[in-house]
Amino acid sequence: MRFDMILTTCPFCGTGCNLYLEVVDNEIVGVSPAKEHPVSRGRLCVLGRNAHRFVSHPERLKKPLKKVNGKFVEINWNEAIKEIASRLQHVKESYGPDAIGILSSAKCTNEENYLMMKFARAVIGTNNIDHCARLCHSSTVSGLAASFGAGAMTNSIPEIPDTDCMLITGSNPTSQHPIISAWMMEAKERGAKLIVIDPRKVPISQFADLYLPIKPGTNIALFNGIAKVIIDRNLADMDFVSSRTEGFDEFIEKVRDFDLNTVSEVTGVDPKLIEEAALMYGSSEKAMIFYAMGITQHISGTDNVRTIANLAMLTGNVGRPSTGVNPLRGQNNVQGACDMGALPNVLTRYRPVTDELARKEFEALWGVTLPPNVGLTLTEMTNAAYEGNLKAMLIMGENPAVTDPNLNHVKAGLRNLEFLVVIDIFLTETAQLADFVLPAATFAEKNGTFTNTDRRVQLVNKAVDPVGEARADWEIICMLANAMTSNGFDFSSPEEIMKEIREVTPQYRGITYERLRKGESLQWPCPDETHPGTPYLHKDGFPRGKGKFFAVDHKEAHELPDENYPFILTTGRVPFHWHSGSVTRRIESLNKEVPTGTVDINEEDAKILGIHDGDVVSISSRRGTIKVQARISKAIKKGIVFVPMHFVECAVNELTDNKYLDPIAKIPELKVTAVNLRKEN
Amino acid sequence: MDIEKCTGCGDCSGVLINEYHKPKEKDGLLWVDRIHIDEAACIHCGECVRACLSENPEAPAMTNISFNRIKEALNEAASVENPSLLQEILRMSVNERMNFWEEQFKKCIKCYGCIEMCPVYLEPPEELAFDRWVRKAEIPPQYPAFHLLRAYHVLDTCVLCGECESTCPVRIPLKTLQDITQYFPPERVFDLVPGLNDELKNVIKNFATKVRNQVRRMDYAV
Repeated sequence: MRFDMILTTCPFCGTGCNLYLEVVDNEIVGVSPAKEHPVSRGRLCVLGRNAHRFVSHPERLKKPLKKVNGKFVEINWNEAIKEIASRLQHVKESYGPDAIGILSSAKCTNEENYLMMKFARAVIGTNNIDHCARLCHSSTVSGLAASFGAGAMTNSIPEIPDTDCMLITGSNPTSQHPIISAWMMEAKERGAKLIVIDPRKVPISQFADLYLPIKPGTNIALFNGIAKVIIDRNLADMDFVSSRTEGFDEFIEKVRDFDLNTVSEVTGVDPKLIEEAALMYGSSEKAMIFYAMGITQHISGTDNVRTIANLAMLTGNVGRPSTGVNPLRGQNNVQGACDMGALPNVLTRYRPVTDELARKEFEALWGVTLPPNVGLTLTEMTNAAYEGNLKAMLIMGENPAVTDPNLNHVKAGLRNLEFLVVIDIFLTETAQLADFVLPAATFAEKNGTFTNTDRRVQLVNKAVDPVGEARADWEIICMLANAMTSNGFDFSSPEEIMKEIREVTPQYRGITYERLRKGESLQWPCPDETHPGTPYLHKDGFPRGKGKFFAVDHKEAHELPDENYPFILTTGRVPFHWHSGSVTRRIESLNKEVPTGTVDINEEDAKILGIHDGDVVSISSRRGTIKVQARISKAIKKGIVFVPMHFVECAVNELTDNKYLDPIAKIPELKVTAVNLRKEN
Repeated sequence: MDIEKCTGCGDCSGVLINEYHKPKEKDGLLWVDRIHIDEAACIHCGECVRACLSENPEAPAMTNISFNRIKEALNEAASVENPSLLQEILRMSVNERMNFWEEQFKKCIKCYGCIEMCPVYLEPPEELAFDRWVRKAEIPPQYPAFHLLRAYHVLDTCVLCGECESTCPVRIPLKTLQDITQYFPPERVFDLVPGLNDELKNVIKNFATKVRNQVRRMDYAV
């Protein structure tokens, strides 16, 4: 009997906790937290503690599958790769490379995302590559890139306890980043102030000094209003504003329109509370803003992020420890997947595909000519598939048939494709629609790196062999590329791929497997092998030179409640499940806690509608209807209902809209959908 | 091994010693962390004896920990100005205790780490099952049923190792809760951690009576 403890990185959220997998003879028997890790400090949340329970699940895919007459049959790898390669080649030759769309995955490693984007651009010849960041923080990337020049969390998780004030908006850290919420509670115990802005009284608001129940989709008005109070009360850091920023005059002109009464009317928040929040944030020496989907998943997502950046610059809360603008990123490697350029508009290091110089650099290294036009985003790809302009898709580790908005439309689009290949660990709802399904390895069965929300690049170490014939995604991509007779995919390990990544990505240049194995915790930018990494960004300057203030107008959400659809539906997660549920719903202990979806309804609304706790309610939007159990709650604002996204039997994304997108980030407005409720008999 | 010699150094159970749970000397005895051996579960491997400072004074397993602990305990006996958390709780009024535990337990994110990391946790007796008393999917779980039930699930097996506390993401002083439930009879516990409903109090009392003779350290209660 052989017993090993394999140190690795948790595969769930972007916090990036480390844990040991306890392995007995090629079987994982348990998880043990890593006490020495700077972020998780020997602690884990309920998902991390169950991280091993899906690896050897009986429903894991073990062989490549091919759909023959509507049914899947097992085939061998050689045949599968050969057929897929020739069919992709066929689509490319018949319709051009842009008829192929590729979804990379924020659950996969940096190395795999890099290879997938290289595969799209160098082998297929298209920029149609994207991943689920489109649905979560694409507006952060576009918003912060415009304000600062870099779209990432500016500060670090371990800096949280030393801050004086935390402003959490549109984020439910207790559920979605539990270990980060623990850091926040520690800061609170040390005397930091806490402001929570959310239409739901999320658990962290129990500790709040101020809780602002905002109407969904009115962030810009609120943050402009807060900025006006800060300016009027002379709390602005004018030294910072004049030396480090530009665009202040237009900004100050704009926020003049946002007096407290107007803002209160738009946002539904008591003017006194807004004023107090402004004073609390504005007068703190060090203040951190945390935000997530409540800010980004709007048609005004990019502008929302800009107003947050405005606020931080206005008060000089950037470029110092325990301050900053801190988007909490959802997936374990969504930061890395973006860094690696698995996006339709940028290569690694966020260099635009439209920049000839950037392309030249990659062309020289890869020995190919690269497409110069920006590709389709994830949301645009399903539309193009629906309209018949996209003919084939290759999807790695994503489940758009549950997670993307307007599911009936998404599924019709996927069905409309001539050719669909899915690489995944389970036969997900998306994989069921595929022509070929390739069995992938889980995080515990491969090597690589994940980059967490505070830009920490961390090792993922193989603990056991993949089940059946499953293979690591990077191996699968290499096989496909080689079958399409492409050069540059002869990698024998993720470490070799990282060498190439480091060559083209200055932020990652100093991050070697050797240093990580020695236990160094490195946060990019880390430009050379002696550099200790960067815990907080923008110390002496912004990547774009000066920070830019944006004068932003309040913009109504697209779908406001009306007579027929009088409620606002907002979506999100529960702490015991993960996204489309393909992993966590196969873990018994988690399913026991939360077996299916519920809709949270305000108690007054429920009374009027005659709905009681546990009643089945049908919720309809202009796109569909779902049935779900009611949970009556005081914690949600009147007129608003909440449904989690994980449950395919009451898939909330059948209700959400895919047409109206943020004009820059192309993110859909998952946080505001007009719906009506009806009690089922 | 001779339990009467136990100083509660904790070496045998690999206890975590830190600023949050220091050993205390009272009446010349270290009284917090006394080891209890579940004789039904013991396989007589002898590892505890080898680790035990009292049994094996020449070469105890973790000399430094034992040494520091004893030194620390002696220092603390000299000054009562720095009371342990347990001592503070003992001095509080019922209302203060209620506030204290409410503040602590409302941090809970229900990660179940206190159970996952517990080396002696087994399927709890049916009458104390969470399903029966605690609403699912609720964060924080309702006060104080979840935490008291968890503590009583290990009433007859707890070795006071403190893993529950050291793995708690939100730093709830669970080791102190263990000390309370391990050293005090339930009636007293309900006073030290107030707010439990009567129905559950009775169920816990009955359970404690059943396993009473296996929980010898309760006899050392102050």
